[in-house]
Amino acid sequence: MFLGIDLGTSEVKLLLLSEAQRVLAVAGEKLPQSRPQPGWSEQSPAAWWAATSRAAARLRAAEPQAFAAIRAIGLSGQMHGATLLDARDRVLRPAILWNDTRAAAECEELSARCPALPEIAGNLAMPGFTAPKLRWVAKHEPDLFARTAAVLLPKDYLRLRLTGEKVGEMSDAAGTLWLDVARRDWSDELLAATGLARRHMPRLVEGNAVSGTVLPAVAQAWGLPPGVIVAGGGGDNAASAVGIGAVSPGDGFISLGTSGVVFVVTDCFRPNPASAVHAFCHALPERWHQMSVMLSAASGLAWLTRLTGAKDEASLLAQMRALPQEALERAPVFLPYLSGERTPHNDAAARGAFLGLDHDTSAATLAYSVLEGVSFGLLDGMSALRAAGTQVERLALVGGGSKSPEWAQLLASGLEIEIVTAPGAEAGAALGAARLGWLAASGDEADVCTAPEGGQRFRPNPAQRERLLPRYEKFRAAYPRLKDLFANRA
Amino acid sequence: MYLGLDLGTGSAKALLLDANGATVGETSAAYHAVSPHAGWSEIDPEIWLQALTTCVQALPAGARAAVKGIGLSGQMHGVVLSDAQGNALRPAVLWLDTRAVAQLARYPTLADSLKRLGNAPSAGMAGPILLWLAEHEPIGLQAARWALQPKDWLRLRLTGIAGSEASDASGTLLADRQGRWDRSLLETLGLPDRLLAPHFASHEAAGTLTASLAAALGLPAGIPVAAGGGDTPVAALGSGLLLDGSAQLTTGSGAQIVVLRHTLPAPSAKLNCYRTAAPPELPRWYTMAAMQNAGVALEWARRTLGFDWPAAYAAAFGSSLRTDDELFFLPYLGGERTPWMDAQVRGAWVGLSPGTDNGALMRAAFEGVAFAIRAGLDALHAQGTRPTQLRLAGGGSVHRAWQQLLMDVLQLPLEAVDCPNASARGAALLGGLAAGHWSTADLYALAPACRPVGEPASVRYALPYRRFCDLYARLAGWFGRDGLQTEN
Repeated sequence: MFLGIDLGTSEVKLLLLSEAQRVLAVAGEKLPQSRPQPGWSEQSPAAWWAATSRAAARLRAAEPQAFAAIRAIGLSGQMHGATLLDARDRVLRPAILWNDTRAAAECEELSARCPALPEIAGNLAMPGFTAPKLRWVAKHEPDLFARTAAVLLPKDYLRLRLTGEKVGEMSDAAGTLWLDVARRDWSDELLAATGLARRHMPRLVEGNAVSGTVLPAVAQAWGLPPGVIVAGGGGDNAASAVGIGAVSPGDGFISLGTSGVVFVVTDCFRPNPASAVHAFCHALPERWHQMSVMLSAASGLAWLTRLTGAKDEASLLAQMRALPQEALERAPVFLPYLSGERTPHNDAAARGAFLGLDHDTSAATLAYSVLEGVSFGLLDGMSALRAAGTQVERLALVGGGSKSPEWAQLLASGLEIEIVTAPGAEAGAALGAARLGWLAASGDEADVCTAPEGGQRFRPNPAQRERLLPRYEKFRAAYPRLKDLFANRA
Repeated sequence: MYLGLDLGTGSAKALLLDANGATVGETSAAYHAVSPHAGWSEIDPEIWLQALTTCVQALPAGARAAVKGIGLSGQMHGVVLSDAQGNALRPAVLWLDTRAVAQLARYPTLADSLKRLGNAPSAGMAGPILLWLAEHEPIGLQAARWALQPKDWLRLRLTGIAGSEASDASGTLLADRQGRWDRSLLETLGLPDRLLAPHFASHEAAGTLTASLAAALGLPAGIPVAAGGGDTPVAALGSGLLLDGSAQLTTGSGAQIVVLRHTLPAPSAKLNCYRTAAPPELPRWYTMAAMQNAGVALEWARRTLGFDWPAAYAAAFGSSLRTDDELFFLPYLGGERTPWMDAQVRGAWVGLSPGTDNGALMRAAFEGVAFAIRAGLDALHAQGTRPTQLRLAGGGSVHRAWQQLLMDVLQLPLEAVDCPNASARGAALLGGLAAGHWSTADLYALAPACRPVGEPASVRYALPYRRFCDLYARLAGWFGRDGLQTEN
């Protein structure tokens, strides 16, 4: 048995996988997000660990025999989050998360101090990444910065609690802006630009390698057998890729979760930072990947459901399905930049908008606008990947939003590719984490990293694409008109 | 008793005043315009007459027998083509109609039109509508004896005499600044001037009630029927807006700021300027900022956000609201008139973040409507009209927090005047004037009471208001491209 632990943004999910590729049980625990100031996003590392332990207890209660047969654990997690530890591995402050936007000024400083940063790190400096956050702490919380002995990413904090060891892994480390992504090793130059050094960093392993063993005290508390190994694991996107078998160059997926990601595996480091495309290591050796990231995706629909007082997302989508075609053509345009935007605008100040409200606009119409606006954001991302030379014909669709056939069809028509939904796709990262555990326990990649069976195929619909194209032009025309307004804060 | 009859946009009203000006009865009956083609707005005038008959017959028979004078008010700008007896030859074309856009090219330049007519040419007015009829229904136009505004058509049926008056005429784009027919303009446009009826003074009798209509309505035959006026100026009269410079804000579906002027106001393409329906001692003109989306935008927001009204106010103005200066609402669900004169613009919420909840969005909607009204007030300022306070029609029933928001955004003190059915009341007053029962001097005492509401308490909206206008300017051209907006 293999245990996958995925430390997401809104919940931590644990998954039990058998060597027959069966998922025996899944247990999740919700995680609250804290927004103490506009643009801030934080979580408590202790709360991560407590939620993980609670989920482990429920999983064990659901499948006691399988739980007792766990041989290896794999970890995946929300990327970029900065967890600051003192010299005794105590947490110094709440973790600053991937969707926190406070460190915009620090990005400019970093880029000025280190002009080679995009080439080495494979990415533009953006407030979501880890390094600018540490510069912010150095500037605004200098006492804490002085006491910082180690910086860990979220899943690596869980690993510390599990194994007592501070170990990082390539795909997640690539999101810090401290990694020389081509060489798969820390960059002293990039660390120095932040005022840090190698000693602040964990040692690095590949995602399918052993990073440590579960501490006896934890094994006892959780009911694990002794000697369970913990694999390097992967950032949530890389782990999701492993979960749906996207391990070879040209494979890829779209994830419609809290954030929206287009992910394609590459056989070499192919950076194109100018288009705000990310180039990271994959969680498997000698492979990299390109990603476009939109900061707010399926979360936009959850947000709209609360706003309109609809009972739940399903009933709002049902109202949307009942709309006639003319209502869709007159629907407002939605700019999905609720938390600013990464690809393609790299603008932390951007915000969302509904443009073109009229007397006939209803909650159901707004739901369509959100689905379409998020799809257009992903189309912008896809265009950036294509401009970087990446060619794709088919992508899997994973994440919470993948449950909606309307969304899948919008994406197929908008992006002009075949979309394949993967059943059980919501468990993508947790499944990928479990698989990485399996690989660390000497599993064979061909046996372990299979693509899911079944799933629905969505092909581009030319008539739908015809209708979408003028609306996409309006979508693209809107942000330039509002960009300066977003930037001029009172 | 004095009877006021009002032909509003959505309903007819009848209102009875006793000799002291107290309301003794009021009734109404709704009707609906039809749209046989996109952008058309028409109604069979017989439907108006039936609705009014229903209203009048619902008043107590004894009171009706005691009526000594009738006054009229009606929706402005539209046109009824009728024969000499007042039988309509086709449905009336109403002020919301937009078919006559192409005909605007026949008018003089904007500068000349403003100078001569006091208003920018627009499609829903009698002049352009008659040009359209001349082009598309020439035989029908030839056969018509009269082209009348709605209340003037009503009066023809009531009295057998065709007449017009200055306030309604000034809203046709066929009259000069004094509200007299501009016969040379008619000649230039090629419209037969026989179609336009002779003027009467709004407050004087323009005929008497015929025996047959008297019988149908249960009213005494032979009583005077005042010329009357357009619904907006007659409502001003009815709600006691009588002094030079006095200003009133009405927020219904849309919002209007009406300011009375004793001297001829400078014309503006962003404002409307018409004759009043008052006796000659009172101000002769009013200048008006007309904003398209007020109550209608708030109602839309409330409905979309899933609130009932008490919850909407509580969420928008309650102490638990976390205010957000980055969140804006453009209320322009149906385009906008004053000041942008932009039929293409639509509504928007801009500045959304994950923490934005429905209370913040409702608050933004209230602020957006207030900002849109402020933009209308600024257009008045630019024209040289600077009210120092505003009466708020229906102000007594306006929620306190919304009143304060309006004062803080407009930076003006407000007085509340409560006068439901102000047009019908004003019409009844005109009936009393025409019958010789009241004189101009009596109008002051007959005015409904005005109660101060308060003063502006904050200047915090100065910057958000400028950013609202900046937001409109940035987005204005975006709405008009093909593919997303239908013609409107």
